[in-house]
Amino acid sequence: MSEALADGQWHRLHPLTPLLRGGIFVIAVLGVLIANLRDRIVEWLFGEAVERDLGVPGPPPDFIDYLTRRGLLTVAILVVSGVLVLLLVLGLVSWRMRTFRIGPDAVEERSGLLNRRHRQARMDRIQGVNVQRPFLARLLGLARLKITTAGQDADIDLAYLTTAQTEGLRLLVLQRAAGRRAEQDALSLAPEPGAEQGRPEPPGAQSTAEARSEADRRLTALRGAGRQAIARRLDDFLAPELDPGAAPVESVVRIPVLRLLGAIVLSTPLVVIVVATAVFAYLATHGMLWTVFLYGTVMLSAGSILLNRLIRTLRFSIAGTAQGIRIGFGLFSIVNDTLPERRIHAVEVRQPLLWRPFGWWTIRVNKAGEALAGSAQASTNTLLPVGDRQDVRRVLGLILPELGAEALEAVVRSGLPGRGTALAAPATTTATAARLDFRTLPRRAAVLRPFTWRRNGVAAVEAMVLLRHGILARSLSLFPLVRAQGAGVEQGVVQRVLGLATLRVHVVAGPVRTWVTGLDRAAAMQEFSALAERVREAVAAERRGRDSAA
Amino acid sequence: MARSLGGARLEGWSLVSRRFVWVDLIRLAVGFGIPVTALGFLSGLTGWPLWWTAFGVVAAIGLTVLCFVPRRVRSIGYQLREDDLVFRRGVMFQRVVAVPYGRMQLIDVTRGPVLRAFGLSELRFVTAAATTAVVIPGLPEQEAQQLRDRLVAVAETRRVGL
Repeated sequence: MSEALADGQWHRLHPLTPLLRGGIFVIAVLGVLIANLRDRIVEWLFGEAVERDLGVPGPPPDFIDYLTRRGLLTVAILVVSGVLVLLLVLGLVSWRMRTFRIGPDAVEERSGLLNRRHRQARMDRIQGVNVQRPFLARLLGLARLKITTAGQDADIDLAYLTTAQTEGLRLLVLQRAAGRRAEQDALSLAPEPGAEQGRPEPPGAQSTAEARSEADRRLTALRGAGRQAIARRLDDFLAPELDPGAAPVESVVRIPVLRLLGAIVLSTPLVVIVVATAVFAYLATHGMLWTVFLYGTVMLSAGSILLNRLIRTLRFSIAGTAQGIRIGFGLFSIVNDTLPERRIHAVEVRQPLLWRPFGWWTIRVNKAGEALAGSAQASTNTLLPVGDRQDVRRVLGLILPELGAEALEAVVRSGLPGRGTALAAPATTTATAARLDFRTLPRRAAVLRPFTWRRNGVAAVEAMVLLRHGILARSLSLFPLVRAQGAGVEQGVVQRVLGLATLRVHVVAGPVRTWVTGLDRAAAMQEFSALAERVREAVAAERRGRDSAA
Repeated sequence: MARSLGGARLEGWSLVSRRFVWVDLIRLAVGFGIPVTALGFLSGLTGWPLWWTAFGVVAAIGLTVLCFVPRRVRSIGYQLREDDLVFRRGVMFQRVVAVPYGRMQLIDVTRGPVLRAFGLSELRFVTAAATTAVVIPGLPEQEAQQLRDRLVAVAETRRVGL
C-alpha cells in the first residue's frame, strides 16, 4: 500500500482533499451570513420579532429587507452559491494539478495551474517527518504528512492521505532518509490495522466515504466479525501511536492526571487570571464596570495559552525509535512528531517558582530545520511538559545519549539545584564527569544579579557545555558541542565598568537561554577561548567520523 | 586592570577599509538628518519649547554618535584562524564571536549604492544560528571577493551537515 505510493511515479492526494482544504472557506461564508442575519435567526428561533426600536419609524435598514425590497434576494443567493461552486471547482482543479512523487533519492511535489511549482526535498536533507491528524480529517480517516527539510519554507506538505498511507510513508521516508534501504519485509511484517481500508483509490473513483464503507463491508464479510471492524476503526480513531507494529517502544514518561492538573493550575497564565479577576471584581464593585472589555481580553489570551498548554500535555508520550525521538500528544487531534537526535541543538531544564514545592521540571529544546514560528502548529519544542527528577533523568538520557550515566547523574544532582564556587581553571576545559564544577559570577556581579550571582554559571561535561541560571525559577541549559555554531563573548557599558562580561553559546533559534551574564572579564575570555577550541574540536571530530563512515 | 574585552589575547586582526568611515558617516547623517530637520522645522513653525528640546536632544545624540564613528569602524575586525573565523566589533557594546568554518551555510557579498560609490562590499558569513551575525562591512571589493573564495574553499574541506 504505501510502497505503491513510493514507486517513483507521480500520484495524487486523496480525492477528499479539496473538501477539507475548502472547509475553511465554507465556514467563513457561513460566518459572514450568520453575522448579517443574526436578528433573523433569533426571530426564527424564538418566533418573536426582536425589538427594533431605534427611535426611527419603520423597520431599520436590514440587509435582507433591503435585498427583498429591491428584488435582489435571488441574485444574492445566486452570487453566494456561485462563489461556493467556484471555490469547489478551484479546489478540484488544484487537487488535480497537485501530484507528488517519492523516489529513492528525493520527495517531490508539483502543484499549481498557472504558476507551476516544483518542489524537491532530497532524502539526505530531510530533517523530520511529521503526521498530523486534524479533527475534521480524522473523522474521515485522513491525515497529513509533513516532510521538513533544513531550508526555511521548503517543507513538503502532503495533505491529505489516508491514515494508513501516511504512517507507511512516514516510516519509508524516514528509513530512506536515514540512508537505509527500505526493507520491504519490515513493512509487510507489520500489517497495519485498517490496511484494507487504506488502499489508495484510483483518482476519479467513487467517493471515498462509499469506498470506505464498501471496504468495511468486504472486511466484515470476509472475517465474519463486524464488531472487529468497528473496533478497529475505533482504535484507528483513538490511537495516539499511529503504528503500533512499527514502533513497539513505550513512552519513557507517564504524566499522572493529578500532576497534569497541578501543573496547569500552578502556572503563570492562571495566576494572571486570578489576579485579573480580583482586580476586576474590585473595579466592578466600585462602579467601573466598563473594564469588563479589558478583563475579557486578558481572560481570552490567558485562557488560550492555558488551553494550548493543556492540549500539549494531554496524553503526552516520548520514546526513542530507530528513526529518532518520537513525541505524541493531544486529545482530539493527535500529533506525532519524529525528531532525529541530530536536530536537537540545545536543551533547557526549567522549574517555574510555583512548581518548586512539588519538584516538577519541564524540558524544552531548540530544533534545527524549524519552520518559522506560528506556522509550526504541530511542531513542539517541549519534550517534557511536566515531570519529576526521575522523568528529567529519563528524557535527558534519551535526547542526549552522549551524556554518560555518570555525567547525567552529576547534571541532575548538581546542575538542577545547587550553587557552585568559582574555579581557578576554566570550567570549559575540565571535562570530568564525576562532579560538576560551575564557574559562577564574582561577588561584584551582585550589583547586576543580586540573588543569583552564586548560582549562575558555566560548566563543562564531556562533549557539552552547561549554563545554570536562577534561584527562584531555576533553569539549566545544555548544549552538545557538536551542534554549537560558535562561541561568543559580549560586554556592554555597565559590565565594562564592573569588569564583567557575557558568555554566549551560538545555536539555532529557540526558547532555550543561551548566555550567562556577569562573569569576570578575564574568566569570560578564558571560557570563550576554551569553548571556541572545544567547538572546533567537536566539528573536526564529527568530520573525521563522517569521512571514515563514507 | 583591563576592563574591556579588546581582544587582548587575540593578535593580528584584519580591519575594514578606512573608507568605510565615510559610508557610515553618510548613513548616520541621513538617519539622523531627517528627524533633526523635521524637528527643527516644527520648532521654527510652532515655537514650542517642547519641540526645541526634542530637537536639541536628537541633534546632540546624533553628533555624539558621529564623533564615535571612526573608533567604531576601527573596532570592526576579523581573524582567520586555523579552523575558525573570529569576528569582533563594537566600542560601547563589544562583541567577539568565533565560528568554525565547518558551520558555514553560505557567504553573501552585497553592495549597496553608498558602499558601491566608495568601491566597498559587505560580506556576511551565515550559520544556522542567527545570533552569530558575522557581518564584515566595508571590505574593498577585491578583498571581499578573495575572502569569500577563501572561506568557501576552506569551508568545503571542513564541511559538516547541520
